[in-house]
Amino acid sequence: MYAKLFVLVVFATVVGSLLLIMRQQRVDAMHEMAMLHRQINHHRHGLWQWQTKIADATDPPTLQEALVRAGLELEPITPLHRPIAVAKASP
Amino acid sequence: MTNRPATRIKPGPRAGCGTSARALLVGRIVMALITAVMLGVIGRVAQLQIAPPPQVQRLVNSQRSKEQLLARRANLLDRRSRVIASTRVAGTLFVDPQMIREPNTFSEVVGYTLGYDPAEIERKIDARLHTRYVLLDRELTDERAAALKDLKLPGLGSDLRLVREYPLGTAAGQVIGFVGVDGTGLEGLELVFNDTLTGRAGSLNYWRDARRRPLWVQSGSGAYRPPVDGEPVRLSLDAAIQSFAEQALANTCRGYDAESGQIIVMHPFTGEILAMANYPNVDPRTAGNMPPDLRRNRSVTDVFEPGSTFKPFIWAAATQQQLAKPEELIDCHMGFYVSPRGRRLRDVHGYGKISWDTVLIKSSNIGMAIVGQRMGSQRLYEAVRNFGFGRSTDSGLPGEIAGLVNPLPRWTHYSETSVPMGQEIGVTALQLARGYSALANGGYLITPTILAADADSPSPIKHQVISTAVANHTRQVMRLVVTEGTGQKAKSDLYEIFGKTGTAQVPDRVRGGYTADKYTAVFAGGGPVNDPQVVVVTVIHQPDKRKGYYGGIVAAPPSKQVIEQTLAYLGVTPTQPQAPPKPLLARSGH
Repeated sequence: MYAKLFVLVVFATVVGSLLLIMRQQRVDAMHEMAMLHRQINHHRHGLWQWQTKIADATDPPTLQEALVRAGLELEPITPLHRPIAVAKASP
Repeated sequence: MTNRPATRIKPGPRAGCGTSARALLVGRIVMALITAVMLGVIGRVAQLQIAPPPQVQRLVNSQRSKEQLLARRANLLDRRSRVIASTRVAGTLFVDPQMIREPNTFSEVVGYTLGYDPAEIERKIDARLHTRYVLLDRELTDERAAALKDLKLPGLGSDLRLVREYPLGTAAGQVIGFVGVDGTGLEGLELVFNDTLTGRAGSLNYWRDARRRPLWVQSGSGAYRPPVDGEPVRLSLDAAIQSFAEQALANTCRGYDAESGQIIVMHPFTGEILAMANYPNVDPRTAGNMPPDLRRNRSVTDVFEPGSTFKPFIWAAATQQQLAKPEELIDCHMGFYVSPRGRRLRDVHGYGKISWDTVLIKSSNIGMAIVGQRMGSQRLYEAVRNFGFGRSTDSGLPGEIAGLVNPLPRWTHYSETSVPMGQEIGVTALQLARGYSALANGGYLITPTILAADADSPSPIKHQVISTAVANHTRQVMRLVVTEGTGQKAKSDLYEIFGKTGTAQVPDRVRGGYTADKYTAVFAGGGPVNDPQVVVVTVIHQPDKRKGYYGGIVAAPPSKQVIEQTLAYLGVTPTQPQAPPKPLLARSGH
C-alpha cells in the first residue's frame, strides 16, 4: 500500500515537474517573444532613421553637386510616359 | 470478571483485514485531505483569476504595462519615388519632478552629463514643479541619447516621438505644407492626404518583473495590436524639376528685388504638375512659425491680371470662330486707337495694317481689342470660360480659388476691349498653365493633378476648347513670339520654345485703377513647339522697376532656363542640332 502511495506520489511529482518545466519553457518562449517584439520595434525605428538619412543624402541638388565634383557625365534618363493619347480621345 | 489466559493468537485467514482496512482508511483520509487541499488551492486560484481582491489586483496591475508601438506617417514621394517628406523617430527627454530624490543636485548632474544648461533645467522644472511631466528636450541628439543610457536618475526619463523630415528642404514648401507637433497634417498636401499618410498606432501589453523589465507578452486577445503604417503618396512633382524651378525663380526674384514669384511646370497631356515653386520659399520644418501670408501656395490662392499672356486664348478662340483669319490684315492705327465706345487704346510700338498672326507676335493691344469687339461680350465670355478661367481647376490643391471673371451681366462696353488683352480678369498661375496646356496638347482642357499619373489614372481631359489645327497654329505663332516678338529672351539654342510674354500693372486696391510703378511680369510657354512636353508659367510680382519689369525681360529668361533643363532632364532630343546639350546633371551645376 505504502509502495503504491509512494509510486503515486513519485508519479505525481514527475508529472508536476514536467508540467513546471513545460510552463517554464512557455514562459521563456514568451519572454523571448517579448524581446523579439522589442527588437523588431527597435529595428523598425532604425530603418526609418536610415531611410531618412539616405533621402537627405540623395536629393537631386546634393547628387548634382557630387556629380559635378566627380566630373561624371550622365546620360539623360527615361522620358515621361504619355499614358493618354489626346488626339484619339473624344471630348 | 473472568481472567482470560494470555494466549498467542494465531493469525487466521482474516487476520490481516483489520490492518488493510486501517491502511485503506488512512489512505482514503489522506487522499481526501489532499483532494480537499487541492480543491482549495484550485478554488483560490480561480478566485484570484476571476475576482481577485483589490489589494491583489493592485499588485497585479503594477506588473502589467502597455507599450505603445509607433506607426509611421508615410512618405510623400515624388514621381520617381524620391522622398519629399519622411518620418523618423527621435527621443525626448523629460522629468517627473515628483520622483526627483536629489533636487539640489539634479539639474547639475543632468546638465553636465548631457550638455544642457543646469540653470535652464532648473527654470523649466520650477515652472511646472507640481506636474508629473516637464519636457526638457524635444529631440535628443544621438550623443545625448547614448549618454542618457548610462545616467540612471530617478525622475529622468526618455520617450520616443515621430519627427517629420523634409529632405528637399524648402523646395515646394508651400505645396507640401507641414504637420503639427502631434504629426497631424495642418496645411498643404500634408493636410490633403492626412488620412492616407497617417498610420494606426499599435500596442503591446507586457508582464514586467519587480524592476520593470519586460517578462513576457500578455496572452489573450488585445494584448498585441500591431501598428499599421500609413500609405505613401506618390506625387506628380519631380524633385529634380522642382529644384530647377526653385533655383531659377529665386535667382530671378533676388536679381530683380521682386516681392514674390511663382513658376509652374506642367505636363500638357497628363496635367501632372511637375514643379510648383513659390518665392519667398518656406521651410516645412519651421513653417508653423511663419506668417500665414508666406505659407500660402500663391500659385493657386492668389490671382493676378495675366496681361498679354491672356491674348493667345482670345486669339485662338477668334481664329476658331473664323472672326479673324491668320492672313487677314488688321489695322492697328499706328499705335493709337479710339474704340466706337470712346475708349482710348495705345500700343507700345505703333503698327499700321498687320496680319492677325502679327497681332499676336507683336502683342498689339489695339489689334486684339478690334477683334474682341467683333467677337462681342457673349462669345468672349464663353471663350474665357471654355479655357477654364473663373472656375477652380479641380487640382485638389488646398486653398485653390476660382479666379476672377465677371459674370456676363456685369461686363461693360470696356470689357470687349479689356478682356482680349488680359485686363478685367484675374487668374491663378495654375489656371494659366492649364490654359497653355490646352494650346500645347491639341486644344483639350485638362484637369491638373498633383498625383503621379499611371496607366490606371482617369483621363484628365475635360473637353475640347479649340480644334487641334487651331491649337497647333497658335503654338506656331507663339513660336514666332519667341523668335521675332516680345519673347526673344526665351529663345533657346537647344529647343524650339513657344510662349507669350505679359506685363500687367498691379491694381490699386485703395484708390482703384492701377498703381503707377508696380508690375507683374509673366511668361507662359513650353516646348518643343511641334511636340510639347512641358508647359512653364513664370510670374514675377512687383520687380524693381529700375531693374526691369517687362515679362519679356524679367520672366522669359528663367522660363527658358527651366524649359531647357527640364527637357534635357526628360531626355527630349534637342530640336536645334547645331548645339547639342551636355548631359543635364553634369551641365547644370550651381
